[in-house]
Amino acid sequence: MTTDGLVVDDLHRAFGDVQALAGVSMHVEPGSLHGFVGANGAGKTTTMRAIVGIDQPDRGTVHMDGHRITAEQRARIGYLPEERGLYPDMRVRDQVLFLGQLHGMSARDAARRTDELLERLGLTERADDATDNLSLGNQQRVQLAASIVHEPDLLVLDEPFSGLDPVAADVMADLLVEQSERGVPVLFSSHQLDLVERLCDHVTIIADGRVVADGGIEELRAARAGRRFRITLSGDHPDWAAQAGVTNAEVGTATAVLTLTEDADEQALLDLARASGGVQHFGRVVPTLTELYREAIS
Amino acid sequence: MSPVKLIIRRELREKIRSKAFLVTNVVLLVLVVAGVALPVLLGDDEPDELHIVTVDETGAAIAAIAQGQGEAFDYDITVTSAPDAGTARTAVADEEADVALLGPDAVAVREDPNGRLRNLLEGARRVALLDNALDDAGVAPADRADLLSPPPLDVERVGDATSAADVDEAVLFTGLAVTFVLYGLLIFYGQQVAQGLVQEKQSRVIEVLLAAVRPIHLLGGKLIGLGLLGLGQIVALAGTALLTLQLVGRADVPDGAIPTIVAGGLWFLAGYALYATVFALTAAVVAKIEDLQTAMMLPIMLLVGSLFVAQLGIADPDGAVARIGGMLPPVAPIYQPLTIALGTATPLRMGLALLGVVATTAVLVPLAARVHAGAVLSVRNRISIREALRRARN
Repeated sequence: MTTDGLVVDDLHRAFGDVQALAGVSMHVEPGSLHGFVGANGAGKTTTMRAIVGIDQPDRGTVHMDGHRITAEQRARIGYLPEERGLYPDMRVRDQVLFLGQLHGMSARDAARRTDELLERLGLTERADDATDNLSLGNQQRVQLAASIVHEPDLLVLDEPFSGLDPVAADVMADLLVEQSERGVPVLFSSHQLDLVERLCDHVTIIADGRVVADGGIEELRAARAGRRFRITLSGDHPDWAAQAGVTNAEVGTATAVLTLTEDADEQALLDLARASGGVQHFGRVVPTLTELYREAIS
Repeated sequence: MSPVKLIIRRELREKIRSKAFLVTNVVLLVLVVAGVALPVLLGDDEPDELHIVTVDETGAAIAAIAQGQGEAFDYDITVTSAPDAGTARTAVADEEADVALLGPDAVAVREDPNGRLRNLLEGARRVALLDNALDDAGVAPADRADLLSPPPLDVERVGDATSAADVDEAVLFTGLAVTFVLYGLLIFYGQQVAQGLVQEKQSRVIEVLLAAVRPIHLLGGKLIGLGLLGLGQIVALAGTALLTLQLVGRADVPDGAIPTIVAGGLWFLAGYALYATVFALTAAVVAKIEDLQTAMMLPIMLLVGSLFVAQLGIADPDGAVARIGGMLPPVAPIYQPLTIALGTATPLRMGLALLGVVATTAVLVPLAARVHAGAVLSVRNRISIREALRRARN
């Protein structure tokens, strides 16, 4: 079981004149579901390939549990590449079994785990079909099974939710949560920020090969919450813009968003809201992950 | 189980399961059985029967001489006499006889005689006429017999010239069959290696595999797995050929055939190691199956050239092309088994040729492994071998 998790430190990687990574660092703790977000070409896939050892960074290190990743440890990583890949003609069960054994499992353990996963993913009846004969959704499920069949010590998943239907996405989410509950550090990239926000406790945002935000999602949101408040009333809004300490007021039919100065008294505003009618909501505006992302990469 | 063993097992199992492989092998085995059995079953080793009818003494003399030479011409000759030419012609027309000798200058047949029959009759006629002339000149019968039937020529061979004509036909046939089977299998399995490598890139499974094993394991497992399959195929084909010979009652396999077949199997291993490595080297830099044909041109041309040298070797086994060309590493796996059938093989030549193949393979294997490692993640476009080596260094 992991103790320190995955530590990526100062990764640099250039492809010709293109600097794909320029000092990427992050820490994925044991049992953490860690989102990795960034625009296309920001460096997510290059970072993940460096972590699993199929690409060598020019500089920087990758440690697992305090040690550089060895060949044996590498076999204990579960990896789902962005561009899905399986042997098209190989039978589903044989494929998952083969990859389990290739990751160091005994034939018996790999067979038990393969059957278990196929059952869980609803693929038992297709076990003897060639992978190419499956629908894309089912091929995704096989791909997921192949990445976790060996009960990895670290999961690195590049766009695991891409192309999944809602039901398959739920199955995928459940499996990732299950893996993190086993204590496995789970790092996955995604463009579906609402999903990352819902699933993950930590996030790393990358832009142009550099980390632009990193940490616990709640901490990041709270840190950027600032002095904005949302007020929803059942009655009419007062003239908020005329109130002391209010620098900006966006007033809608029922809801107003106010930006306050540092020394403004929000309790006085709450009192004014109560006097104006029934207060349905009064609270600090915390940015969503999408807003955080837009701010970070701007 | 080690990664290489797992990959070998996968290659073997997936290929054996594929319908294309099964169909190809069933067709090959049927061809081998047919190729071996049909000539024996349909072939006729008995001499042709020839019935000659004569009408006078000269005809009888010609017929007697022809009868004496019948075996050499593959005829079993029966001679009868008729009272006159008309009766003799009728006998031929009614198919009771094949040839009517109507005198020293005329024969009657139902259809034009073939070259063999014509040579037999003309030769016998010349001897009979000469015998008559010698008799008229008063030469004694014993002297005439000495003159007309001298003992066979005493043949003395000088130098080491050999020609395919000196070789037992069955052994030569075996050698040719082994050569063509080797040529076919080396091309087939070379292509299988090349296609396998490119398919792993095109299907993108390569990235999943590389997360678990090193490129050298992938390449090694594929080469060994397909090589074992090819060897198994050779053993199955040779075993089927020998078994078929036994079943059709031709257990007397000619000397030279078995060593040629065994050498074919052993040279397949050496040839496969060399050619599979060359196919792997040229295919490793390719990303798409549609670009593969161009990449495989080099090894295919080498194999076609080797087959050409083998043809020259049959025409002139001791010629410079066969002796020197047949030793070259790309040619040796195709040509060397044939030299056993041609009788020109020597342990020294074969040992040197084998050494050349092994040495070339030993140089190419690490090169192919480096190119494969450097190009393995180039899944979109073909790169140059130099670029692959540069990436492998980095």
